[in-house]
Amino acid sequence: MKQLITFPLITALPLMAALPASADGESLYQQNCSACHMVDGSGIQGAFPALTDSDFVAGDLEDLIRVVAYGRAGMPSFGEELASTELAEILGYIRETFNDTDTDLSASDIERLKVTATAKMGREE
Amino acid sequence: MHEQQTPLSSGGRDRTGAITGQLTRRHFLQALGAVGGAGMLMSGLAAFNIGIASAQDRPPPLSGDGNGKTVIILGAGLAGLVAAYELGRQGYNCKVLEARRYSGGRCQTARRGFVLPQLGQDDEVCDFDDGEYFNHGPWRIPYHHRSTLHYTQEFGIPLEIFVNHNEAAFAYRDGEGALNGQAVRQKEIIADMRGHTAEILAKHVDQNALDVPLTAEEREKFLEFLVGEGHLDRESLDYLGTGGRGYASDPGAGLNPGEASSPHALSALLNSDLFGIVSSVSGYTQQKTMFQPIGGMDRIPQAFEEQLGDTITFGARVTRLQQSEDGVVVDYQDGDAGESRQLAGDYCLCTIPLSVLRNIENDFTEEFRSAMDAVSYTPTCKLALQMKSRFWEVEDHVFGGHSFTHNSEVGNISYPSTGWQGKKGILQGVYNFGANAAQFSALPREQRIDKALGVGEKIHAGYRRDFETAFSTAWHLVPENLGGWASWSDEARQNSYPLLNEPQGRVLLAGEHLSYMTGWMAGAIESSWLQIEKLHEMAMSS
Repeated sequence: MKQLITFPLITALPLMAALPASADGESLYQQNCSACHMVDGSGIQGAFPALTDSDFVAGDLEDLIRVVAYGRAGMPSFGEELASTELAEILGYIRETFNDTDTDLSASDIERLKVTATAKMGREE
Repeated sequence: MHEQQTPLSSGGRDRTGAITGQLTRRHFLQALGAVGGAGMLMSGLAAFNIGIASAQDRPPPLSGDGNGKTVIILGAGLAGLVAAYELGRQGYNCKVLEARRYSGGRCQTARRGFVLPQLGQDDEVCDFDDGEYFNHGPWRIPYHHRSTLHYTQEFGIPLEIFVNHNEAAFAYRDGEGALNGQAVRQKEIIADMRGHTAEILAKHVDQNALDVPLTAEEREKFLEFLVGEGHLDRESLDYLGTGGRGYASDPGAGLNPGEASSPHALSALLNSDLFGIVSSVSGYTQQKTMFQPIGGMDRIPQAFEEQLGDTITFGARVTRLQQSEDGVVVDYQDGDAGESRQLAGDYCLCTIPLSVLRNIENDFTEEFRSAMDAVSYTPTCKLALQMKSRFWEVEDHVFGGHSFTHNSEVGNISYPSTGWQGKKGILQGVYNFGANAAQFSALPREQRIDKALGVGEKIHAGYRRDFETAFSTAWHLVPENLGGWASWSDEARQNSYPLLNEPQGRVLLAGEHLSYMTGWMAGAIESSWLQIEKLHEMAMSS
C-alpha cells in the first residue's frame, strides 16, 4: 500500500520542477523588481512600465533578456547583479503570471546573450 | 589664480582646413593638436597659461554677448544652475524650469521638516532634531574635483574636511575565520597584511631568492623599502607588529610605557577574508583630501540661487519639448497655478536625467531617442540614522570615515565628519547599489531600519541602543531622478553616448550622465561647461 502511494509522488516531482511560474520566480520578482514595477506588475505611469499585458514582456525573449541583463532606458542592468538562474526564474514569472505566455527559459539561454560587459552598477572610480 | 584670457570669438575653417576669422580657444587648440600632435597641443595650452586639465578648472571663456537671447534651462540641478549663472553673466536671458520646490537636483540636504516623495512609498519626512542634517545625495568633494571647488571658492562657501579614510574604524565580516564575527580595527588589518607581505618578500630578497635582476645596491634599497613599508625588524626582517596597529594598552604618563599588541596571523587574515580592505592607494575619487560644505551640501545650490534671483521657476514639470528652425518651445505644468503653460526661447539646455527625459514628449530624432534609451541608471539607497549619543566617538574612538561591513545588502557605515563631540549625530547606516538597492527599497520601512541596525550593532554596542529616528532614501524611486546616476556599458558609451553630447538643433543636453564622472557633482558641472560653450558658439554664429 505504501509503495502505491509513494510511486505517484515520485513521478510528480519532475512535473513540479517543470512548472515555469514557480514560487522561486515569484519571490525573486517581489524581492528584486517590485519596488519599481509594483507587487502586481502594474508599474507606475510615466516612470516604470507595467509588466502586465505587455507586448514587450510577452514578445521576443532575446529582447527581454537583453533589457534585464544590460539595462535600458533608465532600467538598471541586472546581468551581473543576479545569477542567470535567477533571471530565468524572474522572466518566466513575469511572462507566465502577468502575460499568460508559456515560457521555457534556462540559465544557459541567459548566458548565451550575455556576451559583453554590462554597465557597472557601482561607482566609476 | 588665473584670470580669463582675452576674449576669443567664433572662428571657422576654410576648405583647406586653415583657420579663418577669429578663433575660439577650442578651435585653436583643436587645430594645434591636428597639426602638431600632442606636443604642440601641450605648448599651445601652456601659451594660454593653462594645464591640460583646464576644462576641469574653470568655466569656458565665452567671448561676445548673448544679447538677451533666451535660453530655457530644464532642471535646476548643478548642471542647470551652472549654465544659468555662466550664460546669464554673458548676456543671455536664462529661464530655468525646475520640477521641485528647491534647487540643487540630487544635491540635497535633509533637515527637520524636509519631505522627499518617493514613488510607491509614503513620503519620507525628516524628523531629525534641529541642527542635525544629512546629505542623502552627493556628500563628498574630492580634492581634484576642481570644477566643484571653483564654485565653492567663487561663492565663498566654507568647507570642512570630509574624513573618507579612518584606520581606527572597523572591518567586520560574518564567517568561520578566526577574525570573523568581531569588529576589527582597520589599522590592524592594514599593518598586518603589509607587514606579513613585506616580511616574506624581504626574506626572499635577502636570500637572493627572487628572480629579479637587481644590483647589490638596488637590493639593499629594496630591502630598506620593505623594512619601512612593513615595519619589519631591521635585523631579523621579522614582522613583529608595530605601534601603528594599536596597543594592547596605550602608552601613558609616568611609568606607563604601554603594552605592544600582537599581530594577527597571516592565515587568520586570509581565512577571515578581511584582506580586501587593503590596497596600496585608494581609487582616484576616494583619496584624501576630501571636503564637504559646512552646514550641508545644499549650501552649493543655495549660493547659485542667490546669484540667480527669480531666474528659476519652481514646481514646473516639463511635459513637452519641441523645436523649430528658429526656436524652442517648452510646455510645462505650473505647480502653483495647476495649469499648463508654454515657454518659448532661442535655445534649450536640458539637464533632466535621461531616465526621466525619455518619458517627456519630445521631437528628437529616432536615432537620438534610441541613444537616450541606451543608458541604464543605478538604483541606490541611503539610510541615515539619528543617534542620541555619539557612541562611535565616545565609546569606540572613531571620528569620521567608514566601517566596512562586508554586507552588500546594507553597505558600509559612515560616520559624520561634522559636529565632533556634540550631543547627537547622524550616521549613514546604509549605502547600497544595484540589485541590493532594488531589494532594500522593496522592504517595508521598519524592516529597512532593522536591517541597518542589525549590521551596525555587530560593530558598535550602542548602535541599536541609541537609535532614535531614520531618514530613508531610494534614488531610483525619486520621481525627478528615477536612479542614482547614469551607468554606461562600454557598448553604450561607444555607440550612443557621443551623439547625446552633440547639439540637436537648438537643444543640448547636460548633466552627470554626459560625463565620465557619473554621479559626481563635478560631472554635472563640467558637462554643463562643455555644453554652454557649444551653445554659445551656435548663438554667436547664427
